[in-house]
Amino acid sequence: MKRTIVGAGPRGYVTVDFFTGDYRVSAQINVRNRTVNDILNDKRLSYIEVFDTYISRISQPGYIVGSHHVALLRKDTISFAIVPTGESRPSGQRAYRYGGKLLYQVFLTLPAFEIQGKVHTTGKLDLYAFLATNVDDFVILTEPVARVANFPDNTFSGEAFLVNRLLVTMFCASEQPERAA
Amino acid sequence: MSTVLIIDDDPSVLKLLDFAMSKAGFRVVLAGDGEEGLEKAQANPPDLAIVDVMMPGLDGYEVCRRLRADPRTAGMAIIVLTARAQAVDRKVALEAGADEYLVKPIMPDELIRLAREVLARPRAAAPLVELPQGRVVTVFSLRGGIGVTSLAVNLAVAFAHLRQEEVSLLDLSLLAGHVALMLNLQPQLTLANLLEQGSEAEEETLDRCLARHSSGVRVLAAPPQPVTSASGGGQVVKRIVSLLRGRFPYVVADTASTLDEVTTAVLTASDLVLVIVAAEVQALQTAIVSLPALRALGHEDDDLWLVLNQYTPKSPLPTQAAEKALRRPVRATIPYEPALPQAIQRGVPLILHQPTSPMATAVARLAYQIDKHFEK
Repeated sequence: MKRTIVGAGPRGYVTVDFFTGDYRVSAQINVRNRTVNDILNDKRLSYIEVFDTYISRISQPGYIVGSHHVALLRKDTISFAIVPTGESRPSGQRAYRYGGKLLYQVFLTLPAFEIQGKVHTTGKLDLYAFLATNVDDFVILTEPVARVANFPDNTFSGEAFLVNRLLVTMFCASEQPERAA
Repeated sequence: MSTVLIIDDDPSVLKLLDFAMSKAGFRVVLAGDGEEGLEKAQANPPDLAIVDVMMPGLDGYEVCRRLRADPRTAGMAIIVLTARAQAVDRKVALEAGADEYLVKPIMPDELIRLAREVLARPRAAAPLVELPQGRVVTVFSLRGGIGVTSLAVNLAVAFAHLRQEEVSLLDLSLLAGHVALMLNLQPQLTLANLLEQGSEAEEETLDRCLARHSSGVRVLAAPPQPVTSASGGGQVVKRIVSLLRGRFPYVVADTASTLDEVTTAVLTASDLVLVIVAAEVQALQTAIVSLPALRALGHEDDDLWLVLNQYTPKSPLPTQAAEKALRRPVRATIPYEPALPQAIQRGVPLILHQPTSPMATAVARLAYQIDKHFEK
């Protein structure tokens, strides 16, 4: 039986929480036939266009200080984005490079944030390769939790994070991986 | 048939929910933005409002705050819908006055089930019941500097708004009371004049000592100069409270952070004591030692309400830790409000200065909660 979902948004639009060092921006992004991962990792785009934006300060992330119908976000200032699992993965031909069988518990620090989560790999995790030589700027973390360094009571979680590796100041990983289900 | 007001800027959501809720037996009223929703709610208060958070203009939190701040809509059920799914969003929604919080996308069945559940919860009747006699509510803390006076002032204004009649506010701090300052009043006659008259103070004199504030609060201001010895002050306060009870639905007392004769007298005469705590170790320790002293004055646990006042932007301890330490539930949490110092500086109570701020909404809710408590 077909079921109707309320508030799923217009077709092709996905609601994403973006975090910069100072702000939380909840907005809709038009992914068309791609995913949020594709758009954040598209080297041709320095900015992304977002719609129905609601802006909060990181110190009071629940309070909306401004809302605008349309806005441009500079991708290199995005610390991380909270996305649904399906949107965290690349689509199409790029997809083959993901979906590892080992899960490493990781801890990352970025300016203003500390993030815990898990990364999937096919083999042993190479921190250097993951952080420094990775082709993609935004890396996937599952079971993630972010904490604001100056306001540690403010935490954020979601199905998956896309973390801007270029803003990562420290990347720690567990020694022993778990087997992914 | 229950009436449901749905406020959402997305026409497709309105259309879908209208269909689903009508089919489920609700009478549905639709509003395309916050302003329109407030107008419709105030003109014809529904049983339940379903409010989207992300709307242009007035966001859903602001709509909730305004609904709760208005006596006509303060008692209605509210469900908030939002695509913002973080724990902090839920907290803000509940602080703004929502009863429940649902994260989009949702199934209509889920919303209908929740709407029925929320509507089935016991809610206070909308019309206010006349109180048989005035109630005395004392705002108290043995630890000073944690926002007790500003809370007392705003609570008194909230009672005046809620009851739509005058209430009285007593500043019983003999050393340095600031109630008059916070209301920008310069009374000629104060508590000092009544203390001089002793326990035979006349009702007429008392009336002259009550400064009138535009909000409907009648203020008995603290002595302009510190009074270090007020022998017999307890008897005077008992007499004042007894006279005021007969005239006002609420007598709100702000006390010094001591257990002197005057404070003890008003605490003993109080129907409800709001014990103010802050989420800091010193304030918690003070609250822990205060409670037995208040019980010794004849108060039951039900007359002693813990109120957590987040008077600084950063709370060193979370609310749960405070409740754990006190081994009692916190009856209300008053959130930090950055605009409070400015309101104090201007001599305007925050509840008038920024009536829809989280703190003002929380105080209005507390007043409502207390009023319903006394109706029982």
